[in-house]
Amino acid sequence: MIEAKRIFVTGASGFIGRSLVEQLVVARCRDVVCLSRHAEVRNESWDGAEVQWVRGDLLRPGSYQNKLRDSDVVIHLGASTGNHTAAEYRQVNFEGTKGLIASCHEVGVKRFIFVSTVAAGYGDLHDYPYALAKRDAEEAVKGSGLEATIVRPTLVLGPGSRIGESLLKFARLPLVPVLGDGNAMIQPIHVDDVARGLVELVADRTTIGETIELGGREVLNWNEWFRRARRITGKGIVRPLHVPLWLILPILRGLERIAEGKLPVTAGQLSVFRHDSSIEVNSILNRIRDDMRDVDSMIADSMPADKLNRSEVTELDRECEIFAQHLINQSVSEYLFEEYRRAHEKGGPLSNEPTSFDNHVLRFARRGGWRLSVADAYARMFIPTGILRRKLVLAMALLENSADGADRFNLEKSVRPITGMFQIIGWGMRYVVLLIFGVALFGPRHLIGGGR
Amino acid sequence: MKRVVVVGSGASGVHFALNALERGWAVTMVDVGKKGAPAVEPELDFDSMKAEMKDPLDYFLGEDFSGALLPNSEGEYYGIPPHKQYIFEVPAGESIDTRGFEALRSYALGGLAEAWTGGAYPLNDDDMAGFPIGYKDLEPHYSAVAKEIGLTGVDDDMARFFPVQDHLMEPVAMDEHGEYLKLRYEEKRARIWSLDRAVMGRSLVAVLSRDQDGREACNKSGRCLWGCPRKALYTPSITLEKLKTFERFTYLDGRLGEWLEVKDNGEAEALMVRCLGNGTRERIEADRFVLAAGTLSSSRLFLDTWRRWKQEVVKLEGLMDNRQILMPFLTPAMIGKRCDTHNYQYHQLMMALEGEAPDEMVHCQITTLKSAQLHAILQNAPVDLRGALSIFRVIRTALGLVNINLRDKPRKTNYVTIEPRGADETSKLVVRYEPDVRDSMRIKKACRRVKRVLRRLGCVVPPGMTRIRPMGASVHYAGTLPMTEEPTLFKVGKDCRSYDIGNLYFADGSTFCNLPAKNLTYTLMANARRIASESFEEQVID
Repeated sequence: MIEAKRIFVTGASGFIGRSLVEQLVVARCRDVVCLSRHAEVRNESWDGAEVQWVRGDLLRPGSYQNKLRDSDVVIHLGASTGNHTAAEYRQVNFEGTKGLIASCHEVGVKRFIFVSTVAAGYGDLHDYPYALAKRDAEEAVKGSGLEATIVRPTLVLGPGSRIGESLLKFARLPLVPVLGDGNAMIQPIHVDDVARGLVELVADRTTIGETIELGGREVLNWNEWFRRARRITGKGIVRPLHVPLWLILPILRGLERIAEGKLPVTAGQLSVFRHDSSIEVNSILNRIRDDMRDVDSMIADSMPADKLNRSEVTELDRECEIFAQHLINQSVSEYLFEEYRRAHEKGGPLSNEPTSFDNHVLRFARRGGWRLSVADAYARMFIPTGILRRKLVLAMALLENSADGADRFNLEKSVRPITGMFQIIGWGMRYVVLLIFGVALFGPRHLIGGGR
Repeated sequence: MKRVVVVGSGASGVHFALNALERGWAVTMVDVGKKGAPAVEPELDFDSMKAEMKDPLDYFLGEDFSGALLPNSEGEYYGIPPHKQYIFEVPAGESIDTRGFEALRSYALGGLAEAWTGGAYPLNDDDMAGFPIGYKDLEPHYSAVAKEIGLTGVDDDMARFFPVQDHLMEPVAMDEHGEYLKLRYEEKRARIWSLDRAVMGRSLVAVLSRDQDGREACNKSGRCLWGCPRKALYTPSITLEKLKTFERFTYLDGRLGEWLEVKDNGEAEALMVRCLGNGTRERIEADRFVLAAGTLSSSRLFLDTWRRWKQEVVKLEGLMDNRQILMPFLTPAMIGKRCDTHNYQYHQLMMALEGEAPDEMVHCQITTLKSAQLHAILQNAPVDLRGALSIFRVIRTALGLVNINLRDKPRKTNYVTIEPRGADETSKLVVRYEPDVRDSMRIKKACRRVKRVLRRLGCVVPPGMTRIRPMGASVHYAGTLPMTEEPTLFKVGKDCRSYDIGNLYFADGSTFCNLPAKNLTYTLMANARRIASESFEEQVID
């Protein structure tokens, strides 16, 4: 059965991909081929399993076609998520899928599992280019003639979930802004449960031609979700601040015209606050339902590393993760944690005795987010060779020279010189603002007790 | 059949030895010969090494992370990668005392040129003012070396200052930024010459653009700085391999040349060497001796010889080095372009500024290096690190670096001497250097002129980023035993034969009479070859 199959996974180093590969190994699948543009993910528990990594790009079928040959099942997760332009979403999520379908025909792979999104089923998608591209890709899959199943997960949470982290950021603010009336229903699912559902699908031929929705055990509304998030993160319950969507959406749409792909959140992504995202029960859900995670544990799992207190994550690991997030906006692999620890053992950033003020800035910076940005700016100007800068430069050196971050030192694609100039000016202005904050925050203490 | 002992396997030593072997001599090469690790993953390019190697950080930063340049460490814009550090490792027991001079020595197989950037610049008659020889004497040897090592270049405006050689290969294609600068120059060359007295053109570079002698042409893997796995970029160790194919060649590594035993008739009889493995001494006899260990090490060997022979410690005056200034610049038209590392990484363009006097030319190498260690550069940006990285992504293709070289002349204040230690030890080398009083004026003037030309090419020089390298950093050391026609103490003839010890020759930079603003490596090779072919008579081979 599944043990004998060769399974080709696209987007294998991504959020769902990593969990899927893990679950395939757990299900004793002996032959997994992982396609990724990024780094190989290493995991000691996979020893003995045949997990092969192929560095390739959905947009260049030539880069993976050879490895696709002899595969029995394709699970297609690879997609652009986050902040991109409509053209970029279309390119990767639609054209990339079409390219993969064509390649499957060419090398004779029949079984095709396409992971889409529950948002592809929302009515109006004109300001949600991500979901639109996914919906068009679904159509391409349906018309492909392959033995295809389309999977639409709902809100996926778990370790490394970007959307989970953003939602939790809001949940932890002194006042919790909830968009709209907060009554839209959601049915979040843990990333490991999505992965288990996908594994079930591999061997299940009855779902061919169907669209399967995957959601968790509980259905709740946004107000309830935020209430629980506050409880679990140890914040007191407050009355949510409802921000009307009719106010936010037009502003966002206007901004998107000017700065497409650059905004932290888009009008489309907010449609999750307007539409109900609960789902119909199906055979796959029935099979995995009993072991599914509840919403509380999903929330706990989605907490970014800097908010965690898990014992196996050492302080240095957390610091490394936070610094990487700060510098390149990306999580890093176990390999980088190890190297960061090792560099500390060799002395590296610690070779200068830090002053108590140095340590104060470092402790502040370790909390990540805006605090780290302010500390970074202040340190550049006033403590350029202090412990924080030495650690940040070390993190940068590690990122630059490993698969974890090397890509981030280059543009994904060229922009016009004038756009580039504006970006430079923007980063320059950001620095000035951060510096002013930094002076206000650290200046007095630095002046009074900056010495050893 | 006569035997010559050569000390050192660097650029001078191997080219002398090759010619001497071809002329029928038996050659024994004495060398410390520290070796680097073999090239890793030769099929990968610079980007895919990071993505596909099991432990890329071990390669790029070194096992001890010494390649990570943290704030407060003394780093350069592009330092020497960890696995090339062996080139500068000094054997135990060798010591040095310097003032005003950052003295680097190499005890590596292939010498300092194992870490060179391939720039090969012939001297012209103006440069050789003060030498008892002229360009004509070196010309055939420049061409022969060009053929031997594989030299790329073209006949362009630079010919005004750099005589064009035979046997040049087509250059390797330039990156987008380089092409842009070249195009801008072509539009403005008349103005740049008439107003700035400057010319620009393609560098002469010792990198193959087609396969030669078992070496493969440059495939633009972007790994130049990290060591070319295809041997497209020439290094002396390539010629050393060729030397080993001669039966009359003996390579004795792990040995440090200490002094020569000189007979009463003023001829050297044997070279005393210390075996670094067990500390024992060996005595190597020969008909002639050639010192090619680099100006500092050859001088030390000569000074120790003199001390043991004449019981006298002397100074060798006239030490020179090129002052270098690193000037980063930015080309706004290149901003926002995605960076492509698939290029030859070292300088492909050069610039020369005419001087007030013929020998005052200023030479600039223009590098659009993409594969340097970025964290070393980013920490110097005048913004926070996150901002620096985001800005850097946008300007990566637009960045360039001009390496400005200034000439040097021999002065009495700059010398090499020794401080004797125990009877059984090699002496401590003492180096003293005081810059010329007009040095800072010349630096300022050169920077101003270079900036002006860059502005005409549409480039911007960010303030506060230009760095004056300390004396000694360029490692173009020369001039302690200069050539002269009049027999003089501590000088050599135009054949580079010592006036003090009859059968001793100097094949390295120590015989230079002045140091023009040009990397001297190519001239070292040509001159070493000249010494062999003019002074080492052909032997009958049995």
